[in-house]
Amino acid sequence: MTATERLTISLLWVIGATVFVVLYGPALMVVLLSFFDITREGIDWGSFGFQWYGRLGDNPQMLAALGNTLLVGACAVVLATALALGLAYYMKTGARRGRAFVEFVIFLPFVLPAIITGISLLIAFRELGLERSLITVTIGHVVLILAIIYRMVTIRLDSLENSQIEASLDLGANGRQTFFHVVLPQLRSALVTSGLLAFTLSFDETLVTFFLVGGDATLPIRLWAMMRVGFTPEVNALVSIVLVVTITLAVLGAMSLKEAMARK
Amino acid sequence: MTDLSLATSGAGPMITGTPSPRRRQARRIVLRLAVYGLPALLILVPLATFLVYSFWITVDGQVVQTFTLANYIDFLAKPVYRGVFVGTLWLASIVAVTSLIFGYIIAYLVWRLEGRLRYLLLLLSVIPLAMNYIVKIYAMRSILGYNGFLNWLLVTVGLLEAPSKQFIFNQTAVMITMAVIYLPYAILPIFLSLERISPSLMAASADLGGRPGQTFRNVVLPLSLPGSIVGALFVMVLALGDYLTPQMVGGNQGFTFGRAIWSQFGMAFNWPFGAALAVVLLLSVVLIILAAAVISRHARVK
Amino acid sequence: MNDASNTGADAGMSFRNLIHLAGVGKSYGAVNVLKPIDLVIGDGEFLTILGPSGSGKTTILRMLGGFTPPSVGRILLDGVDITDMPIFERPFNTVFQDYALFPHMSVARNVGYGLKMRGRPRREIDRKVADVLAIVDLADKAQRYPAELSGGQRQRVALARAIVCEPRVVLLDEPLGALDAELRRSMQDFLKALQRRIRTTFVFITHDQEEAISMSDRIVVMDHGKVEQIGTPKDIYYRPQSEFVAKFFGENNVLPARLTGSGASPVAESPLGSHALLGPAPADAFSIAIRPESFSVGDAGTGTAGQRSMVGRLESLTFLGATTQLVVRLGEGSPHTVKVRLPTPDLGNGIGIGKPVPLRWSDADVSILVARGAP
Repeated sequence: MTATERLTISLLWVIGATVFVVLYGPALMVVLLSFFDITREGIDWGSFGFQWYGRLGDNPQMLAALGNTLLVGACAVVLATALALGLAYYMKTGARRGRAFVEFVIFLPFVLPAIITGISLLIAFRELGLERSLITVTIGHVVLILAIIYRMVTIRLDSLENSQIEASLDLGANGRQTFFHVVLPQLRSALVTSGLLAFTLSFDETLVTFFLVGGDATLPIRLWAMMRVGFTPEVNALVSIVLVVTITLAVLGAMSLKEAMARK
Repeated sequence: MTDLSLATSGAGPMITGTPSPRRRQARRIVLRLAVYGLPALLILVPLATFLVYSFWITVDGQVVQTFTLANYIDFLAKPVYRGVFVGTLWLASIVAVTSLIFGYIIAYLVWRLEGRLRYLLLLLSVIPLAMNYIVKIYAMRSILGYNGFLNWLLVTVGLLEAPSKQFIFNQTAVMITMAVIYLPYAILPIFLSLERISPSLMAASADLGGRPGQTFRNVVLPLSLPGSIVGALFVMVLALGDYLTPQMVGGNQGFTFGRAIWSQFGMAFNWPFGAALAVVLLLSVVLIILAAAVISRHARVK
Repeated sequence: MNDASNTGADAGMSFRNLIHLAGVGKSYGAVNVLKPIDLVIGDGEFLTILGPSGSGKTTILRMLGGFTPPSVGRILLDGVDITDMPIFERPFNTVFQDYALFPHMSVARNVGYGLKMRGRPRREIDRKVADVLAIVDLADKAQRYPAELSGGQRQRVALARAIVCEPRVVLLDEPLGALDAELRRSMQDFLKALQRRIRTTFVFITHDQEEAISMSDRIVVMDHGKVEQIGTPKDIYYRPQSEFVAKFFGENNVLPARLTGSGASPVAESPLGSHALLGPAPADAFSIAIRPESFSVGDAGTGTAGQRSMVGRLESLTFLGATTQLVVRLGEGSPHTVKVRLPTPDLGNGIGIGKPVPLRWSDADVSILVARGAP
């Protein structure tokens, strides 16, 4: 490596480090602020402590929003998993007409801007006479995360030899028994991984949810509403917890993804 | 000796425990309906409804179901919307280019690494995707704001005499915030396009006397650029459709097309017109995706 | 393909008819992967379907198993039409080419799977699984997982899983293909012994001629989606009916022949002289075949009926160990040569390259090939 090349790489590392600081800085700042009191003059550096974490209960709206988010995420992941699993298994067993088209449709919400998906669902729900509520939010999230789960299940199913299914049928199991005894157990890791990633996605989803949310807000929507007045320290505390939890989930998801890839 | 004649083959004997052919047929139809119907119901029908809506109009706050191009004509006729549209395209392009440059630097640095460190840094560059979007905007606002970290830093260092209002509530603030939020989306595709370069090509280049710098210019960059551009186009799509970032850090000056659409479903309450604007957005997104498809196909042929 | 020689009874077998494939064929659109065939499989028979890849042999197996529905024809089991019977109701079990063992189940659970699906009581399952694992000599591996076993062990698990439900027919799809040569030999013996022991019909797919000949009661030779010949291994070897079959098994001499004489006494004229034809000739021009080991060398004149002789000229001589191969030109200036294989000790002193060789053979060893050249 010549001196110029070494210099270039070092320079790139400096830029890279700066980028990482910029990427993580905002989140770290929120976490940092959650440990201090904020007064008119600025941060009171002498006030370090977990006091705001203790006072999370003072903000019941916030906690309700957190509960809504968890509920929506759990329901959406379960529903989307069931749907994606059924679809993927149907496409696997036999040469299905329109497979490419169905996949194209599933991937649309993933590729199109969230605002388009949000508006479409909003208008459709209104035409159907469906009031905006956590139910409409859940449906919206199902639409969004379906593609991820379907994709990961399909990848795993494609590596499952057809002869496995044939062997099960050959040994006297019907289609349902084959699915539960042979196919599903081998999809477990793919389902866990995609479930984790999908849940993380649902947890933070804002741009589609905004169009579909009714009286009961999810956490991002609640946070958005509170931003106008500025975050109070207990909000910083909650956000810090949320950050830690979602990042943990995402890392777990990424690790099980890596494991699944390594096994293949 | 068993009877081998084909006489029995007409109807076929019934096997106990098997559902009748008719029931099986019915089940198959229900299954097919669910398989093809549910995605259509959840995704295609809303999209179709939304397209139809864009051809209706609002009169006195009521949606009138008549087919008309009025909304589209309105969009073309009002320079305000045209201006916002072009401005937003420009904004999204700059965000995309920024993500391409910095995303490429990060992806390239990570790609050069080996072993655990490589995986760790890759993970670190993807984790921001899992950080809450609103929180990121909020934090960026506290950094860029009048009383924010950036002003404090610049005043402390002595570059500024007094805090500046130039960093927040304008188009630049929107651009910076979007660049920070959407950069991680570009890193992964760029990294993957670097991963696809066969190690034997690198070895061949080195074997033929290519210095690392030459190998990068002649092998790595040309082979990874198409995939990287596709990643940047993906970022552009995200930036085009964002309406909350401009709303929160853009102020009055940072009006974007996404915000224009959103306001039709909020305060302005003209859904058909908003739908028409969204169709315009959809068309530009489709064009971008087509461009991405052409680029990646071209790259694969090579 | 309706002639009687296709049935087990005619081939000297004493099997009760179990399965009848009646005009069964398969095509995908315009592509005909299996021309309609008629085949009767006897109860307890070891039937091998032999052919190169793409010959349609796997298609037959998949239609028997119910994995692929036939385009035409019916499949009868004990005279009952099972063409439309779903896979899981057929009393057949399959040993798959890749074994298709369930990776998330132990050996015991793999083997017991079929019984469990049929709702058998737990104790019966445990007992039968133990019995069958003892038969395949894997009793000590019951709690292992497929990934922990060697190729040969996996193969035996697959076999155990296929026989534990006591199917009417075991279908084996090239089960030995993935094994190395030595293991292959011992598995062949094992399979044959197992089949004799449990007296279950085996339908065995292979592309290996030696395997087919050494294991089978009968062989179905396939090529290009069409049955070339059905018969016992000896039939197939010494009485090939087509040039494809004649050349498929080891060395053979295929010579052109012409029909002379007519009506009641047709005569085949070939480089080996004239033969009286027993049946009608297939065409004016056709081929005959004779195995290299069907020749012997020695002076003519012993003169029993059907014995023939001819003096040729020795062109080359290759020592192969127990046997020696000679290439003999059939007469001065003749374009035709034959390969002759003799036990090495039988070679006399008079044999040398360029010298005349007196050949002897029997009319009974000459096969008339129905089809000349490749179809």
